[in-house]
Amino acid sequence: MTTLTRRAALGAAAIAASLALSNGAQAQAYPNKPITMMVAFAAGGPTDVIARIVSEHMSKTLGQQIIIENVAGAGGTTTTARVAAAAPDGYTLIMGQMGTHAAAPALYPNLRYNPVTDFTPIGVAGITPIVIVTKKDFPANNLREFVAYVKANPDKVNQAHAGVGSTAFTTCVLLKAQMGVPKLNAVAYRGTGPALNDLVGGQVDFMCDQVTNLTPQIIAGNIKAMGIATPARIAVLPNVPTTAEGGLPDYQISGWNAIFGPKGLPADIQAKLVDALDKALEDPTTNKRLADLGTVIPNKTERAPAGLAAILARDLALLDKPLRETGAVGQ
Amino acid sequence: MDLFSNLALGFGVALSLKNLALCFVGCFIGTLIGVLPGVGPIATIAMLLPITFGIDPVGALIMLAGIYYGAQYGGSTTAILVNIPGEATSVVTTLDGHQMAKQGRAGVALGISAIGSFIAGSVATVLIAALGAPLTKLALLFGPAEYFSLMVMGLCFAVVLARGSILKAIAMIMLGLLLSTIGTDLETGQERMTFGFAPLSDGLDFAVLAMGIFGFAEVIKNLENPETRDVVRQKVGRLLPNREEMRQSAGPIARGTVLGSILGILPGNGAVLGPFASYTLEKKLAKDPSRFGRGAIEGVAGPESANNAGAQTSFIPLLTLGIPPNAVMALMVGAMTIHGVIPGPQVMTKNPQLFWGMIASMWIGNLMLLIINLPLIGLWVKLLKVPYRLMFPAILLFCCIGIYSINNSPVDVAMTAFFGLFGYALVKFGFEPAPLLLGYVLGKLLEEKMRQALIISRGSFMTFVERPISAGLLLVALVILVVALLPSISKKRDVVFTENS
Amino acid sequence: MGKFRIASPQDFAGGLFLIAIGLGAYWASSNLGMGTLRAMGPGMLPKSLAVIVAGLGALLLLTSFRVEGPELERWSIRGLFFVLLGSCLFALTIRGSDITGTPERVASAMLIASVIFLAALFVATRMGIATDGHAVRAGMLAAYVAAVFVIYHVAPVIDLSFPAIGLIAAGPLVAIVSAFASPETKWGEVIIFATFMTALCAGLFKYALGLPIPLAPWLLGY
Repeated sequence: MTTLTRRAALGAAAIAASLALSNGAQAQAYPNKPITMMVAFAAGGPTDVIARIVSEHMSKTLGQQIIIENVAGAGGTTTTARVAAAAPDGYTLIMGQMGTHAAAPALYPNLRYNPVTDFTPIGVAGITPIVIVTKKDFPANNLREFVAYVKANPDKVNQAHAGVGSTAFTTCVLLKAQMGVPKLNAVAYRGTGPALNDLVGGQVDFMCDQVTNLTPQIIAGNIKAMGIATPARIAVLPNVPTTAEGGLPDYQISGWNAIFGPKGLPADIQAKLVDALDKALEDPTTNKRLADLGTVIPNKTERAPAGLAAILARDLALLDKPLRETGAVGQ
Repeated sequence: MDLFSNLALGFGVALSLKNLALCFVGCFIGTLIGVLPGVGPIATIAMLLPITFGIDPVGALIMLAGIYYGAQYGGSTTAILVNIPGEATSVVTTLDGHQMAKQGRAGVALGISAIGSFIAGSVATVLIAALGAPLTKLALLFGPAEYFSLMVMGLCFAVVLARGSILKAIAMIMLGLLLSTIGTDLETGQERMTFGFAPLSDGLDFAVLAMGIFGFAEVIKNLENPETRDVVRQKVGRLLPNREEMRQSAGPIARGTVLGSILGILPGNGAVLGPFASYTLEKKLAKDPSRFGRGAIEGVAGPESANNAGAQTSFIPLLTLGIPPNAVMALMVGAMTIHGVIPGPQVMTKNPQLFWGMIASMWIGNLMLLIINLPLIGLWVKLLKVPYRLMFPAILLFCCIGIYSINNSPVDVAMTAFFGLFGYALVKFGFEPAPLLLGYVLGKLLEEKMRQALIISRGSFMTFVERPISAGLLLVALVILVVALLPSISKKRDVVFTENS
Repeated sequence: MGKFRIASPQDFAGGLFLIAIGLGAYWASSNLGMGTLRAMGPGMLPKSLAVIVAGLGALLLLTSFRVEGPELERWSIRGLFFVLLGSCLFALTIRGSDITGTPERVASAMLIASVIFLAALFVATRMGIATDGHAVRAGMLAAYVAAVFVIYHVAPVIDLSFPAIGLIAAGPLVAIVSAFASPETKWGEVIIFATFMTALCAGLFKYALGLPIPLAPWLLGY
């Protein structure tokens, strides 16, 4: 028994010592231990890929490892809520995206965070254009014909998406609202892969998604691109006209990924992270890797915290009404 | 012929010293990962991605692919040794593989699984090389309706899996289906049966369920009868199958390879069905089906071959089309994009080195798995000699860490404990857990595909019989069910009466 | 049939088990819309499956009166309890946990009740009070449920949070607690083995595989 108590006492002493140590460590310059960047989606997805590419270079600047932690759940909202509630010490960040920050408030009435007030914006890591694609034998060859056909045959056309709250879902809800056919038949798939498989196989008629996944299929002629929702044509798909060219100038939307910290992040820590992100995006290798994905690197003002806040505010306003009208409700 | 020049190019790439080393490292890590319960290929590939940044894309993908099929193979090792299926595809292996281990034939079971996997992997690699592009079309023929019918066929296999009462087996399948509906509804985003509990919103993880009702329940069950357990563990038989056992396994390996290869190509994780289909087939072909579930070597050889063949051919849609058929392949897409290779139909022409190098490395990888695993069999079997009083805390520790690391979620560990209780109750009430797991695995796809098909057909059920492939599959399902049900009902009666007389 | 008799107690219990699950699942999915067969709602499949499971349970229950079958096996409470306790403790302490939500509170109430319950059982066995027989068992089950209920409602008063002790401490904890499950356990051996296995796991999972698993937040900060 005495040995046990002695052991307990030793243990307690060790704990006390370590607490003192860690308190001391806190005073040292940030960062002095590995940083966790949460990704609210499965490994290998678009958000995860961007997080891994960007964090790899950021960790060089910061001199600390950045650990990517994937915890998927409820359209990414569970993990986003966890980061919102985390300590604002700069050791817990999240690679947020359009779904978790701009679309979630309209889809999840019981959302446990406010995307604007519960986070400290760090910066935009990448903007990915959205393209409207159809199966290869769809009876329309450009956006004007497409809109006309869909409006004329709303009961024949099937749209595919990658699950409620996904980018493919959100951007198509906006498209359908702007085309004036909000109730068009939508087929839900578990992720972009299966949805794309059925689009290439001709089981469904059209979908909208980030160019990353779709470019190779468009180039191979397995699917047809109707229009790209950016102000100008993009380099990887020079032959695909913009939505403005195709007569839908209001359909302007892009997927984006951005780093956020919990609210109340000290300004010096925020500045260090902004600087690390800047350096990563300016690095030629990192830059090329992102560009190969079809991701557009935002310029310095766009990607700065203020720019991120502006993009967030714009998309929140843009998506709120059409998403609420779908009646898709999470919890 | 073009194929040979292509393969020569591929082997030229894969046989470079560096790529051989990477392939070995991948297979080795994969095998270890597979043996650790819970830590699946997904977590490992994700974790090792950053390490591969420094390597060229071909080498990186060769290593990651090695991890994948290494893990797929390693999952069967735990299934045989401790009755914990590491992957959905090794659930079937627990049925006869663990029984063989209990009879002191663990070495034979592991050996035949290694040999069968090697043969199946080699055949599947040749298949990918020769017929990859045309086979891709098969994947595209499968729409939601065909997929639904395929799942129905899969559920009929589950009935055949059962050892005892058909009624109880069907009840377990239905229970598995019921469990699969927990979580967010795909179409509407509504939460189902989650009781507002956030960790349930994505549904139950397969590993949580499998580790609970197989792993934990098995430990608890073993703790209550030390006599049988220890007797079993004293005997360590041969380490490799003998000539007679090889002869018995030849047919099952060949048939398993064919079934697994075909099902592996299908999108949406068709590979899962391979082992189940193979087991069903072998049980039906056997002269004495009652041996199945009591340590029949055919019940290990067939499904293991199907498992590995499917693991290889599931690369086809990824390599030729750029569309991942399952979660691991989706991660491989991520890996490719990180390395600047955008997967798609262009890979074959634009990056022939990568394409053919990977295919050649698959065969090399299979050979390496054989080389790595045959000597390891001796080690694994020796591990069985560790007294159970030390073995079970270690199993639990590994399970806890493994489950935690799937989602970095402590709740998952607690849920596994709950399913341990659930699985123990099932055992006590005389239910079989394997059909439940199959029902669970197929359930999500079944509902998803049925609803997709009905949305596309505007609610017409005729879509399932109007489409020829779908109708064909449903017909096969019906035949399986009739063949399985009729004799077993009458046989069951006999068994019941003989046991009580 | 003649005299009322259960021919297969195992199937009888199994039937009841399935009926309970079916009814529970039906209740849990009662808030979900059924839709129609042509346009299925989220509730269509869960509800139909719940009915089917309960129906099969009823069928099993009926056959258990006619077809002879095995007796109900005894449950090994000791193995069950310590194995589950060990893993639950791991879950609660690996990253620490605040008990806030209802499910967490129910779980921790069950945990505490189980400890009390087991202590009582242990004392009872030592004092020679019989713990066998159906009546005693039913009584114990009722007492257990009551204890969970009471603790659940008292819980807000007590702080039920667990500290984050990391793998270094949670590893041995799960091994040692679960070792209580076996009567053959030799304590010295278990403690050495648990330490060794934890070190091995830390090396393997944390360093070799680089999994983001907390090692010792109170000592190393991660």
